[in-house]
Amino acid sequence: MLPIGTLLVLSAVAGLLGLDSTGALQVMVSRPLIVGGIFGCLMGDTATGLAAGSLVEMLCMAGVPVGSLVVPDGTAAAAMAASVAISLAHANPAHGSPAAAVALGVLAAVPAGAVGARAEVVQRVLTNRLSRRADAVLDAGGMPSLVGLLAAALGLAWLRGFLVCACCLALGLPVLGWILVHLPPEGIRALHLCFWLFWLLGMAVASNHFWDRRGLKYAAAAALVLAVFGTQFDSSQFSVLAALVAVALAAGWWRWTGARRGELA
Amino acid sequence: MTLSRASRWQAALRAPLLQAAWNFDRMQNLGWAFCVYPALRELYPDPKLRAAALRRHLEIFNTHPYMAGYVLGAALKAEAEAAAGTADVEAVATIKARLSPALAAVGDSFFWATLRPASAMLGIAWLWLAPHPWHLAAPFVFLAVYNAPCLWMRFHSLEAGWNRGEGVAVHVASLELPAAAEGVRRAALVLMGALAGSLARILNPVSGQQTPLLNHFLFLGAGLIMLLLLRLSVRPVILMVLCTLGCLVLALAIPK
Repeated sequence: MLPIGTLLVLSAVAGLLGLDSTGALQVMVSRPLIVGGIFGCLMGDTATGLAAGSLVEMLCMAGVPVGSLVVPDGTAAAAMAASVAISLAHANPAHGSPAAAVALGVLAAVPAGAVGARAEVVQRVLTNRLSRRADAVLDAGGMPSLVGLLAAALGLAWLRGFLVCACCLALGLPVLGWILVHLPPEGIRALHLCFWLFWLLGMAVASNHFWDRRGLKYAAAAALVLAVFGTQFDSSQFSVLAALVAVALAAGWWRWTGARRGELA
Repeated sequence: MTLSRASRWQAALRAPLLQAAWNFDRMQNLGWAFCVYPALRELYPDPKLRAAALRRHLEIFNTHPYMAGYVLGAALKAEAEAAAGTADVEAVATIKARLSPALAAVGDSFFWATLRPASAMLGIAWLWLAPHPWHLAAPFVFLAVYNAPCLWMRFHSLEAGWNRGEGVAVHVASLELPAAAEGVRRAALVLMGALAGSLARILNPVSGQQTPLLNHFLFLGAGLIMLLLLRLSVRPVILMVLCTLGCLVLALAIPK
């Protein structure tokens, strides 16, 4: 499994990336797709990391952090999925395809995301104290150090991400490694199938999120065009897809500017 | 009394840390106070008046982080007027209370619920469909498409709020973000349809041969059943468990 030094470095990176989800910047480097890519890069297999990250990204797409709602921790989930997928695929190449390892990683990501969400609730409750601390300093006639309070809050958030990732990896990797080694060939085949079904499930979750009765016919048409008339899975198909997206974006732009023209009129 | 451009820019540059100390008690209050503090230092040289102003800004506050610049600009304008004695200090709290929920609703709906998933889908489609090795650029595609409008919003919003004051709500309404969200949502649907149609071809990636047409429809049909179950409010986690169990049964039942 992972050496302790690597595990600590990966957890520290997960903690840093996790800051982006709520605390700082919010440029979306905490999203599973990016976390998967970064972990893949760090562990020497970017493609597998991205595959795991993209699956987690689709599966947690519907989580929208409205108000004080705490959604499953996508950063911890993707960190777990990518680490498990890459380390198991490389450690046990004879015991299954990378797709099986990715599927196992995605399954392991579910509890990691839930643990991360619980830890975030605890972190926010602890941050309440910092808010009260600012009041206490003002009551005492002083001026609170806002930089210090924010640094403490960010430190707490980093620690949360670090601990969640470290605990999940330290506990999960040996268990999952043991499971993968002892799985019969049927189990490996089942995991391979799971990979594709998780893909479908991710697509279904995303479609459900964007559900729009009137827009659905465009999606169905695009699916049929590429399923029936697509020639090969290569760059020519990518061009067809790019053209379709460009047309869709142009239609959206037309509608938006039309709405703005109507508003201005 | 007015507020220097430098103080306004300091507020804009501090805004990405608005949620750094998000807490259940008063949500973004510490981050908000951190953003407005340079302006308070300029507007209230007297430490006692500054402390009183800071206490007002430590009250509960929550809005969408990218839209916060509008509230920040409008509130700083009101604060500058209050410091000059031409307006009441209550106006600052009123502006914050009026603007923040409305902007939070618009921002959550456009950025969190629409642009972010749509950009992620574009990144995912890029990952799976772009020719190798360009597929590895997928994270950059996602980040570029998502962050371009967000950065524009962050850096234009504070000046818009400062110039328009409480009337900035009209400006935000004129952006027609719900209509833009609808367009983005439809583009995302087309993208997903195309991705589903393309993925149907890679059921047999080892042989590299065309899979029978029936397989494409089986693949799409399985996806549609999952979609139907999700529409019936079945949770994705439950479907994941069902998928895993189904795969186990299939692997045991069908010989290799």
